[in-house]
Amino acid sequence: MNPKPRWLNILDTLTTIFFVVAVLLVFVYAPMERTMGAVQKVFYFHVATAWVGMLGFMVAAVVGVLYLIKGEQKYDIMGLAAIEISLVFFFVAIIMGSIWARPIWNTWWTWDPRLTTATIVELIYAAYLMLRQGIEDPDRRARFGAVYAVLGFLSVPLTFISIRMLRTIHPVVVGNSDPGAEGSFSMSGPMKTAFFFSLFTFSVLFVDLFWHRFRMGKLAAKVEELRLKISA
Amino acid sequence: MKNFRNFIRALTAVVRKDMAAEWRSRELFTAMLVFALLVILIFNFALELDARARASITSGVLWVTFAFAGTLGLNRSMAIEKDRGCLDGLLLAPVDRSAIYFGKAISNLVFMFVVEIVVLPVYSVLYNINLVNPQLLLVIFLGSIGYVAVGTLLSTMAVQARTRDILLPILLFPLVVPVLIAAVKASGGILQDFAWEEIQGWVNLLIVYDVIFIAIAFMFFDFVVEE
Amino acid sequence: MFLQQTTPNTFSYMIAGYAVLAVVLGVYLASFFARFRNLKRDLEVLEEIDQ
Repeated sequence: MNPKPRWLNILDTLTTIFFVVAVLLVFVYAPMERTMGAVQKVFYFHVATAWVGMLGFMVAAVVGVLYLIKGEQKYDIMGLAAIEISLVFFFVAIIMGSIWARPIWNTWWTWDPRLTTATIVELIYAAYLMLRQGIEDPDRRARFGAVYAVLGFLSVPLTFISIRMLRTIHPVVVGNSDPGAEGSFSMSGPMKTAFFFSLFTFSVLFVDLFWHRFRMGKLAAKVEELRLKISA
Repeated sequence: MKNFRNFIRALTAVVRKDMAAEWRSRELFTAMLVFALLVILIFNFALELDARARASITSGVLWVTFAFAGTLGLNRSMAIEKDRGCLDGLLLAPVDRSAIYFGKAISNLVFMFVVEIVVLPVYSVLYNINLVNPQLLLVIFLGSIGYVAVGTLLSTMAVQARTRDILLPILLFPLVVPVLIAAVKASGGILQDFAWEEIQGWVNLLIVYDVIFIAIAFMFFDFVVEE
Repeated sequence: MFLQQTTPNTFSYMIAGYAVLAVVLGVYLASFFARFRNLKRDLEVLEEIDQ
């Protein structure tokens, strides 16, 4: 195992600092929203975690294509790393959203396009992990994983369009807002700062975790190789 | 042109082989049909399908039935190939891999459609609701195409895994959600006598999904059977 | 005074939301370290056997 790179140590420190700053911005700097109260603060990290979730799935689809073209093992390790991290963050995003929805929409859950699509996405990538677990041959596992990651990513917009044809109540805070959406609000300056800084922080956090996970994946591949060699 | 003729010949050979094998054993068709009827029976108890509820939920019941029976057929049809070594034989044959994919997909589609054709009149009689309707048949046909297009690709992957029997539905269902939604909505609209304009959108969507899914599965099949 | 909209007290929901974030990320990081450590140990053992 290679020693931990110096840049990774620096990135770890930076991530920690950013994270602390983001927490301070959200809880101290950003003002209290009038109509929703404290729960509105959930929104900052809810969007940030959801963003990281989608980012990871996108990365997995891209490296999936790269794997299918080039067949290099590193792309497979990257794909697994991205999906694993994204699954965790997306899960957090769904739960946080649900907690926000309880006082605002008066329900924990509603079958709105975004919520439903998010759940299906989570299931797709859980299936991805199960698929990998069921295959022993490393080369085939990588190939099938890449195919499924790309397939899953392509099906997400289709799912969203389908469900979109039914009504939505999810607020669109950034960009054009649906007038029917409940719980939408406009962000003031400090809110915007906290919001975009949270997005930035979680992106950095993703890169940091991704790097760690990638190193772990390489280690795991090495262990597996040795194991096969010894048992052969 | 010659390539295309070879392609068609390979494709029909695969389909003909599947049909002949099925004609002799009838195990796939019987299993899918009996399973489908059982699902409908269970829904009867579970949902209290009275006359008023029927019109609005029939399409949902039908599609759940087709989806479940479909996975059974997809799994079995690929498992047969794998276990008897037919898949390896097919792959060794000097033909385009996509011909094998389309051949298997067409066979699966035929099995599924035959089951659906039998289920519809039975359902009509049992629940006193007319399901034999050309528009509904069209929607069911389109929905089955999308379902089988992804299903054939994924079942090829699933049979090569250790956990093959439980894997296919887990892999398949989250991906075919868009097809199922469009199919359920379109069939529901037809059964509730909506104007065609209201159903049109869902049917168009279904056609778009079919094209997309066939194209994707066609592109990826090579990677799934590579050795 | 009376026209002013009252802000609902949703403080507990905010705490719940961030508690979920902290717990899930904490568990993930813990499992991360555990897996990393196990892999390193496995590698050492396997390398020993290999020689």
